[in-house]
Amino acid sequence: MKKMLVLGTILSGVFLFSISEAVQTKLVIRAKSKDAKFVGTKMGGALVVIKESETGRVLVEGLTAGETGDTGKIMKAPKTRFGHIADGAAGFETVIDISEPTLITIDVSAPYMHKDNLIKSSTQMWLIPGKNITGEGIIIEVPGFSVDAHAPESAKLANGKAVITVQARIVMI
Amino acid sequence: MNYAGPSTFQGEVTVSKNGDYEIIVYSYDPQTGNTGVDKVNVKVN
Repeated sequence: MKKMLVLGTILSGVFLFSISEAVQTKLVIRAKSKDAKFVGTKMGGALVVIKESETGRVLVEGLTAGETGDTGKIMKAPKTRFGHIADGAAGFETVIDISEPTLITIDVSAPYMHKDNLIKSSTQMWLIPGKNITGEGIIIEVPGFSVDAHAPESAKLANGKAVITVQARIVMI
Repeated sequence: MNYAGPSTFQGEVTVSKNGDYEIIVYSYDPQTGNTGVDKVNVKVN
């Protein structure tokens, strides 16, 4: 009798596994510049790569798109628990088919427009089949500045010295 | 470097020898910890 119960448990486990099907699960990823707003189309977006953590397999990748967001909510208003700062701000929306809870790694690289200045931030989370992560979504902070320096390609010595003028455009990522 | 307009900074480097130079420009905000770097190459002859 005891053996039968054990077998039954195993069979039910196999049965549950066999009927588990991929479920579409929505996910929104946003890249937020540290001390600034969301990385959107203006900066070429942020490259989002979502991988299955266990295997490293890429599940989906794409760019955030949209506006940088509401300055008042993001930069001025006091932060509150459950408060929304990302309304209408840039993001990357995707749907991932998973059949079981899956640990995923999310890499965000920005600004995509200035590849010399790309900074990558990462996080991990468990994605549960059918449990959408939308609204604010997952907000990943990207620290740093985008620095774009310019100088003449060449300069000539005059009276034993050359003065080189360097100009740099510096903006938040 | 000095402020030279919105999001723009300017400075001068004086050298006294010929050669290939790499100029490294960095930014640093002690309040936020934000940093950034870019490099430019200049040939002096």
